[in-house]
Amino acid sequence: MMKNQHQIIFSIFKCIVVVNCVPSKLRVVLLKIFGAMQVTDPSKSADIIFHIEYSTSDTNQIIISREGGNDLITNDIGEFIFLFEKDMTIELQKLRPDLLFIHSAALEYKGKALLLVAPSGTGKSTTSWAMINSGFNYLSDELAPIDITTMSIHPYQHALCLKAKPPVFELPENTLFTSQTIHVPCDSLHLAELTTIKAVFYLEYAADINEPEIIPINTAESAANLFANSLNILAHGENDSGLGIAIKVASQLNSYKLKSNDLEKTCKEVKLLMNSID
Amino acid sequence: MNIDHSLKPQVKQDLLTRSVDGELLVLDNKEAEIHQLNLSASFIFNKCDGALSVDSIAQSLTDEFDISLDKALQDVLNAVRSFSDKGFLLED
Repeated sequence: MMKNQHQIIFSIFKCIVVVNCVPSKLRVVLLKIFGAMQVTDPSKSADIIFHIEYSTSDTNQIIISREGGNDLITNDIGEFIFLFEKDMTIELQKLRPDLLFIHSAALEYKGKALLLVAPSGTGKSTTSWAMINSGFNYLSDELAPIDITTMSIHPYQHALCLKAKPPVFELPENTLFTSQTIHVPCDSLHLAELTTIKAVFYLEYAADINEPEIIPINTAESAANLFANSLNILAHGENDSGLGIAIKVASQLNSYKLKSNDLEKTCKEVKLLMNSID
Repeated sequence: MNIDHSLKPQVKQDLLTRSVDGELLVLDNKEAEIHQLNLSASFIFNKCDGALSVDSIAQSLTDEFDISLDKALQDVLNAVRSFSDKGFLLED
């Protein structure tokens, strides 16, 4: 593959994403967010190709073009990151229908991966940030692609994305602040590789408790939650809409409801539990 | 829907169900919703075939779960009302 000075190449779930980005400022942003997935010498040709440039009529306007897609336009860096990533991850899901994509954070501890599932804005990334600072390693804070044949989880290591400054642990100096989000680059995080998944925690913020509560749940409840949080479950079952796969995955995991309102205590309890899981 | 003792509830054929350790997961593709039923609700759901009345289902429930007929009847009525609210049942 010919490479030019404006080009950045990422390898994500063995898919090659080429981004031709002329503005150096935007290349810096992309590398802060996705730099952990950058490759310099890809083993195969591009699966997805993006072109990013400023509008010729309005130099504040960023245009994201993808071959085969519609142009995405914004003049806000935070929205630029959001639009680019959303488009890219949707395309990646199409390229890897064999993987089950769960909307979830994923962390590794002593060779075992766990999923942290919660609706957007309810603390996945903040809890992940606390866990990374408590001995866990980072796989993702947003997207957990599961290989259902091996029950392993692929890393999706973009910069950890926070909605607000976390209440615990100082952010590193290279943190990127945008109008809406805070991004902690991966070179400040402890990273994990492809890991076998052992547990799933359905996270709830509970203001009315003194200590975090970890409550085991059964396979049926876990499967229903996994199903509801999957991004491509329909690709995994022609006859049953993927219900069988959700049950199969849930049946192989230790599943818990995690009620939390104290990050440091929560990390400690989850660590204790992960130590007890084979 | 008028839900009383004589009603013979029937679940819609287009609902997708899977049993996990006796509990049913019910997928309503039209509404894009998934529901988890507990053991007794799953038992009642499986009896809603359009042939059995609420009274008959309650009798079966007493046999299966060793509870009084009054309690079983109340449970079946509550479950059938819930199924109706969720859109699981044929209207006629």
